[in-house]
Amino acid sequence: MSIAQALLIALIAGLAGVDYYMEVFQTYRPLVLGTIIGIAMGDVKTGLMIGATFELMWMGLMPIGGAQPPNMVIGTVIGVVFAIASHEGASTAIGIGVPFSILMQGIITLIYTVFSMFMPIADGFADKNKTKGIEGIQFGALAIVFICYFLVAFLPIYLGADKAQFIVSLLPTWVVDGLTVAGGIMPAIGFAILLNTMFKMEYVIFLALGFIFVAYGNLPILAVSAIAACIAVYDYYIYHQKKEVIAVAEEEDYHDGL
Amino acid sequence: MTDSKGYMDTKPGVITKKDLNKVALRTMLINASFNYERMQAIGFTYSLLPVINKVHTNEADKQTALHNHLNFINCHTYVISLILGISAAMEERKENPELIKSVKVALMGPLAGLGDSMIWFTIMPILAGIGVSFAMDGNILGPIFFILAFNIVENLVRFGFVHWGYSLGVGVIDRLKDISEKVVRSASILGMTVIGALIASYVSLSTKLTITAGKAKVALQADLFDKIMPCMLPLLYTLFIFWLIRKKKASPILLIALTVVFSLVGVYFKVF
Repeated sequence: MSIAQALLIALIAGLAGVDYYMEVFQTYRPLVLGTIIGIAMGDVKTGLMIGATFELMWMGLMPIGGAQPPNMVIGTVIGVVFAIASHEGASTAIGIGVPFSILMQGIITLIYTVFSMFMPIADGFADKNKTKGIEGIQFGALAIVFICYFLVAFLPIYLGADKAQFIVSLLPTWVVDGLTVAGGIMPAIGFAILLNTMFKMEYVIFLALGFIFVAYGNLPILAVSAIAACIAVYDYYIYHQKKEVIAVAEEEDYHDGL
Repeated sequence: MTDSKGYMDTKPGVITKKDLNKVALRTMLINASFNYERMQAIGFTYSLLPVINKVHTNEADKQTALHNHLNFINCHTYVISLILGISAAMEERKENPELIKSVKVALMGPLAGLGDSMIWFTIMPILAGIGVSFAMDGNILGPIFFILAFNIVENLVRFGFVHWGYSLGVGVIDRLKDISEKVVRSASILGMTVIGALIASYVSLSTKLTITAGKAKVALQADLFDKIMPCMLPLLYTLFIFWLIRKKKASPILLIALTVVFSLVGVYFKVF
């Protein structure tokens, strides 16, 4: 494959990767991205068909709460490129694409981790009311995401599938698995920080309640929120009624004293 | 920040429809700097900047608002528009920052659940399914139909919810003006319950360890932890992190590094 074509495909992967990171235009879905790669390589039909097959594979897989599924952008790009280049079918495309999509899943977890360094910078901008700085962080972050996708797509295409897969296989599995486990635990840090800003001892029972409903009851968040809303309304009336009663009682005591 | 400390300048600002559209447009970048420490905090602040810049002419108040919105938030990437609309109404009326924070926390969990189930798991598969059925026949209309249909739905939600949230916010706040302190208590109850539910739903950690006692093999996760309390490890880990933050004043970066090392070591020794 020519360098120009590899660069073009890496550019498409970079843009689709940024779109996937932001979840905006849906150009990252395999159905759309496969077709675009097909157009770039001059074989729309294969791109379309393999994209559609991949779409079914990745259907219902979206990053929820910061946990990452295998990366659909890199999986689709690498899979479709090599399926078209080697004139093989969708199953070969999946076989080649999936290891890279798992590699990219690990890289995204690393990006989420490293991007935490933006928080103290943003706090610093807030101290000085520099809102332009906060805007700058947003675009700087997207540039980093673009470069990561660009490189991960470009290198295997440029080196060829065999060499690239050999390099991926050299990476110890415990590193990739470890990053996946880390991705599963990471939301705990956000929740702990949130808990710290909201914390009051008198509300701890409600934390326990929400946990119990999901852990033992397997209730969806929406149901738990509805129950919590009922409790909050009930508490609202009881708590403030009690306060009024006490206030009235104190006033009466005062009168008695006279 | 305490419950009673509000903005210094409490004169309401003026937010126009145009400002709200600017906010909606900016939500496209809500995930741009997504990170494990505070997730969409920068994106949320970035999206609300047109309102913050316009409403807060007092520099100290602006600083308070910026710090307040840089707190942790995570929600569906465009259903979050509703929270932005409500926040815009509350900032416009110079509500207590503590109340604004509580309302955001109380709403983000339920709305994320609603957005994930309605958009990602219902509308997305339906539209993509139709697209795939065209594409399998080699018809290029498949992806074109999908991307057009989805973007229409998406932007109706993105823009519509900011305006809806704003009018919702204005209507509710005017009635609740004098009782905001009481509402903080209710919002905190809701928020704390949701955090408990989020921990059990979204933090995943389980062990592969087995204990061999004579001939009996006990899988720690399935035979012990799940029997006593499902999601016990996620809860313990979250509380451990919480303790490190509250008592040891540990920095989030350190906690994230700790979590990565903890996971790598755990997988290496086949604990997870």
